[in-house]
Amino acid sequence: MKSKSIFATVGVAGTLLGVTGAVVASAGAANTPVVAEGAMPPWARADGSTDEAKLPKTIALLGADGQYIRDASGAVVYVPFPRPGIDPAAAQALYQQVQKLRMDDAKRRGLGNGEITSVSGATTP
Amino acid sequence: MIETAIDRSAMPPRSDEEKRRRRRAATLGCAGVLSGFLATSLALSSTQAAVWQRTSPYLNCVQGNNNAQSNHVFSAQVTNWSQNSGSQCSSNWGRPPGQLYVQVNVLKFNGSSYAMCIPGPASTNAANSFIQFWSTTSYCGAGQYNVFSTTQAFDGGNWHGGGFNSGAQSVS
Repeated sequence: MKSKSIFATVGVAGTLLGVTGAVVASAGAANTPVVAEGAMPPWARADGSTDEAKLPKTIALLGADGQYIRDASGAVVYVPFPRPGIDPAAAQALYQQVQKLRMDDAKRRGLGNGEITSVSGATTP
Repeated sequence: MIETAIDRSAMPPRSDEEKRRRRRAATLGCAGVLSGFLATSLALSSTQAAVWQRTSPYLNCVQGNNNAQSNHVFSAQVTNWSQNSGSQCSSNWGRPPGQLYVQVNVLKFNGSSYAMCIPGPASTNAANSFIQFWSTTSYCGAGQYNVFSTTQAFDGGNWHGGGFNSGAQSVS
């Protein structure tokens, strides 16, 4: 009966959508390495705060497509890991350094301009 | 040819068993759809907690709220909360412009560790809280992201706070 099959199809499709949603939500894209949702990096405590003694000094830099940015010799480029203190000058310098590295990498590999932009402002708590 | 209308008058009446099967199928379908939406919503939740807290002479809290959203907007927020009694950081202790500081960094998990996607400049120009968004047009591809921020507030004498992490959040 066509009407019966319609209901059965809706039921199966709904279930598949639900299962798919759960899998996508927990695993991200199909080919993406998986970490548990909400899992903290090695320098973080369970509540999200930071153990500064565990912060790395440098960190590898990614380009606009998620691949490592490499220098002329093929080595992965590292940048200073931001410290959690009050240092707007250092933050601005790192921002400008990464901006240039990303844009040069994007231009070299045909990824567009690679530029990153930000918007900041106040919001009511 | 696709049949779009069904003439019920040409069909025999449904049995009780058939009605029960239809109800079960419809219920299962709705439950499946709802579970999908729920799972997706949970994956996009933010992380919020007290970065710094003291209880004397008053309860003061510096709270962070970091988030990675499905539309590739990454944000970090600092809010200074305080109340003079009780145990919850639940009432606003607004600070004047220049006395809240946040600097946001977007890190991506590469399979074994985190790598830098986007570091951001620092800002201090908000009164009560501050939020910083990143472009939707240029990031580092789908995957798991941790939003790491410097989240601080000034109490008139000292800055309080530290680094704050959202934890891994899936961005497609």
